[in-house]
Amino acid sequence: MSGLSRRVFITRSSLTVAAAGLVSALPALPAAVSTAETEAPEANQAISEADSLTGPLVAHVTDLQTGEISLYAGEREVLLRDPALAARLFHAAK
Amino acid sequence: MSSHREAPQISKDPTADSTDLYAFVSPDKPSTVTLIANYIPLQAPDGGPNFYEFADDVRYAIHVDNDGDGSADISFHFRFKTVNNIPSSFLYNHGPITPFTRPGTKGTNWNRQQTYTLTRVDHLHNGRTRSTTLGKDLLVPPCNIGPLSTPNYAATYLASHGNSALQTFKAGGHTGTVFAGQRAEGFYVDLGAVFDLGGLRGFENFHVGGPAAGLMAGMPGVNSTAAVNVHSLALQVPIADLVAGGKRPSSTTSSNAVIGVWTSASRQKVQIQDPHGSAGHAASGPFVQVSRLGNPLVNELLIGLGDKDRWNLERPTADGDTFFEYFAHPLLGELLPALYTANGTAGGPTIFPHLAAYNASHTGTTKAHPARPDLIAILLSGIPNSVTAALGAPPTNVGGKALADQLRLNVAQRPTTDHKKISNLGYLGGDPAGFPNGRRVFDDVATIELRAVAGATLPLVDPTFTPDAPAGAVDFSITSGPRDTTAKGTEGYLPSFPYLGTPYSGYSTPSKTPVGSTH
Repeated sequence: MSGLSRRVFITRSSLTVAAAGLVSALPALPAAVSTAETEAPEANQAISEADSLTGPLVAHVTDLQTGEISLYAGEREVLLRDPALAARLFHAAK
Repeated sequence: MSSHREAPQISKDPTADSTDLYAFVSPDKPSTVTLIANYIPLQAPDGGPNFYEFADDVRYAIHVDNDGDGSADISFHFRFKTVNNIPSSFLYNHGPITPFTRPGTKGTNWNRQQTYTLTRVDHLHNGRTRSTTLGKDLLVPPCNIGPLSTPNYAATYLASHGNSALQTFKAGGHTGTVFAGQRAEGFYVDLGAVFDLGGLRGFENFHVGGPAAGLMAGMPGVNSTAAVNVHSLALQVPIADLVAGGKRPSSTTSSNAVIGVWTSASRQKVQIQDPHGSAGHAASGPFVQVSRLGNPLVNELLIGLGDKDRWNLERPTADGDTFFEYFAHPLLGELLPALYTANGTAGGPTIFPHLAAYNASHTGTTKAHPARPDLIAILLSGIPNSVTAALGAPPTNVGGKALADQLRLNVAQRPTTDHKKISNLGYLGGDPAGFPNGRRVFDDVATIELRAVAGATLPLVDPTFTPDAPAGAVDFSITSGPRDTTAKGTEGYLPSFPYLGTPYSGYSTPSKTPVGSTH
């Protein structure tokens, strides 16, 4: 996580993580509460060798208590609600 | 200024700062409409070595509402790509940038070069969109540096054959001509005076601080933007390709005769300063609007400072709700009677007594009772035929329901080409083809809006109101009169697309510097 620390900043009560490569190091994302155009990813979906990041993948924890997270990738924004992931990101950024 | 640096946040982001918007039936091709959106304000022509350019990470757009609901039916997106042809060099160019070549051309002298993609997005009624790429790798001309670097600028870069920044397109059933690049600023106003407590050089003897400051009557106006450049996005497209139903309207009262136009700039939601990324910068997420512009001077003169940044982020339909009171009861209308008095002293008798009395008895900010319904009609709803018919002018509302700041153009109105009938005051000057029926490059929109706020347009909606005499006389003293379409020869407008003049050369800046001077 040493590389992560350079890219973390906290604004007010929100937590933004610019995470090129970060998500692959975390447990698979739970179901999205809403998405722009895609269906929610399956739980415990593994990262395959074919998966790769083509640009920044950014997680913005907008509410730590409810676990609301905005994910930004390409020109999309995906909204998640996952308190456990929000807590894990919070502690990783401390 | 029309919309140059008009809000705190966008003033720090000039590549995304929209400055002016024009929409008019092309005088030399009346079956087409010309749309021009300008960005990057107040460019010093000699502002090298990194001369002005569009931003690769901004999505520029010109939007058209053709059914009066306040939302875009057609959007034209411009996305830019910048390359360094000679990346090891610190120079913009190594020699004359001629001929006008494409990026990567072997032996080119031109280092820093831009191209762009033009996309038409049709917003369908089912909520989906249909995108058509109208052009890819379209050429942007260099900035006008000087006779050694960019010789014979107009002939070299706006040539009628070969590589040219004037480019035609034909794709998906759509045709037109497009230009993106540097042009001479076309908007004219006296910035120094108006930003000095609302001064008007021709009328400083009436300003409450004028005589005490030694200012006199009848001083000539200063065209503050006469020698600066902007970057323009210009389109010329068939009328039938913009209006609802795809058929050119037969009359100015046809249900599809009016289009509403605005421009916007958007950036991706997340911006990352990443030392490991490309050029130290990356972006992610959906595009969000950071700048918009419909009618001139709206955010500049009407919206309160605390709301200006928010206004830039909102869609035009928010004007009928969130921002309505700024249009309904503008502060500027209250200030004029207090700022201008008969003896030029604070507390003296105002030269706008009728406006002052009207203001005192009309303070409404609701849609049912707005204090200034004339300004609502001009800027937010469009003006119905019941009002414009008396002016001999076409309506700018033919049934639209939305309250939204859009530059509304009645495309069935023929352009005025007789110079004895053209007026840079548009409707106020009896010219049915000028502002607020769209906006031509030479329209004196600052004077028109000043006079409107001063009460000149109130009788259109309140026949009992008699405008004060100064409401029909105040101006910025920059033109020689209503028939002047050149601002006393300072603007260099062209008779054909892209209509805005050749950009000022850096070598000739300041523009009055004698080329051979040894001083």
